[in-house]
Amino acid sequence: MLGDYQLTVLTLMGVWMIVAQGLNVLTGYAGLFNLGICMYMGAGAYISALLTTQYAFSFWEALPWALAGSGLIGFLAGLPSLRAREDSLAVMSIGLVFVFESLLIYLPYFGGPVGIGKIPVPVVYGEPVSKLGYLFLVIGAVVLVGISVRCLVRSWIGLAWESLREDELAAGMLGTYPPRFKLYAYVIGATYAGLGGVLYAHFINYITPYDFGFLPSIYVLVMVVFGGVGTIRGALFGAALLTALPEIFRFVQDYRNLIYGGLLVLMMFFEPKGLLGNDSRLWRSVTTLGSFFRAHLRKTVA
Amino acid sequence: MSTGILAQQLVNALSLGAVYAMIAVGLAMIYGVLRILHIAHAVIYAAGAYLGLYFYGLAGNFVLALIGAMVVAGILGGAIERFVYRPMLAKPRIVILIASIGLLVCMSDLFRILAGPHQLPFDVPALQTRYGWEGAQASGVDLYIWIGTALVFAALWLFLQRTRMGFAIRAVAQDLETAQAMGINANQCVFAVFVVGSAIAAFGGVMVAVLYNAVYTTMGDMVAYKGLALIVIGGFGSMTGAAIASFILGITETIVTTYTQIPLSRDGIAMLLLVLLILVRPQGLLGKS
Repeated sequence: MLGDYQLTVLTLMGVWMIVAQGLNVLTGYAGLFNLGICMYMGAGAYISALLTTQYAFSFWEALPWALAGSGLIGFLAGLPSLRAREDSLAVMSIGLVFVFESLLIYLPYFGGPVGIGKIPVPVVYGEPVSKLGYLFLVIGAVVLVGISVRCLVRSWIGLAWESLREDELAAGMLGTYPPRFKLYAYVIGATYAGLGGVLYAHFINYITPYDFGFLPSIYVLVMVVFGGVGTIRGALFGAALLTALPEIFRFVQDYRNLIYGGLLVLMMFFEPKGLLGNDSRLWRSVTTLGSFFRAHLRKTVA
Repeated sequence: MSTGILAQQLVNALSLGAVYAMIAVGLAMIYGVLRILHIAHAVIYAAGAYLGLYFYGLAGNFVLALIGAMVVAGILGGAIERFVYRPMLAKPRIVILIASIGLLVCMSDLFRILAGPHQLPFDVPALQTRYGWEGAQASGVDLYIWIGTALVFAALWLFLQRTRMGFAIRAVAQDLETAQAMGINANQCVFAVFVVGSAIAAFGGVMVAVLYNAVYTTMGDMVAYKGLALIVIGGFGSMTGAAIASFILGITETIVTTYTQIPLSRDGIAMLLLVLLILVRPQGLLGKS
């Protein structure tokens, strides 16, 4: 059976998958480059933590508020971002995540630099969820998020995002109102990240402002880029791989940033589309292999 | 508040602004020729501080150490351009930005491994003399920073306006492809921009290290983000704009932290200023819309 350690790693993997999916919606599908995704994750985590510790909400009562709250933060952060484009947008997202982190550190209401502790575990059927139960909860959330992203991307919103990403001017000329769909992307991406934050807070039980700053945001970006920007499988795979890697290679722990940074540079050299991105070497061979087998299967059946 | 404190704050703000300008001008030059956000510039700045400390230990002469650090940092910056950015130029611009972030994360960890996680002192007794004036005090380091900044910027101006190379660089900054078609060696120009920009950043790094008597692995981090903020505020690629923005930022940071109760750190204030300025002028102070 799985020990506590494996359960923890697997659960965190799920959490990062959800946050990565949020960034994927924002950057991969809508093409809005963001270097501060953990700001929205932090919003969800802090709202849920505050409601459950200070105001005696249960996990399930706090969840909708936390999701709505992180969506609102996404909306508020999206408004100024409408004025910025490309490079300014990227720099602006760095600015916003630093302002957010700084506010959390300096306002005593949010617990200051030590953060918030004793965040309760969710209760199901009158009993606190076990670690295994929590893992299933997170897996359920990952599946839900994956399915909803797929539906979104195939809907008219997804098509509008794609056209915005490829050519904003042309999309605008054809009657797609860019600010509206950009704000959709901010709200939806932030809500996913917020969900990840809620699940993180109630699993770790203790959060600090530093968990949601610039560097963690970069880790999420690495995950998405590594797996393949703009694909659901890429974000899932990247999050799983980069959560597991430091655990598998314990000796790597000390050199985590060195290796993450180095991998990022090498990745950009040899496979800028990500390991499983559309048109990457690995994914091309997977799809060719798939079609080969399908053709073979059809022949044997016939 | 007495005028003495205000004058002291202005001294501090001026030094801070000058150091920011050292970073921002190099970044603006690089943005000017390649249109890339070179986040890893801050790594050069930190490397400059470490190299300065190392050379100072070897030679015992501050000016020699400063020049040595600038030369080696210039080579390092040129190497980053040659071996990391140049092969990537044909790819989408986001690729270079991500690679640059990777370099930043990777190299600051490398400093930690090479020099240890602890903060190192950078004490230059010769520069610690204090000059008093109207209740405000400026140390020898402050004077070095002011004079050095003035000299570096004057030299940079001469280089860009009066030499063949500078002329070519300005042409490349206006339009890389046309300049190439006119027979200008664009690669050489870009390389020169990286070398010069990196040397200036190293100058800033050494000066900050002496000013605060500290060299540490993460000293470049905050500067990296602020540097990007500064070239955005200044108007992309405008060196004058970046320099003006640096002094505005230095003064705002110092005054706001001294005189108001805004619940934000120094860096938080800088970033808030950035967000507000982008809202008011998305094209930057001196940028063309």
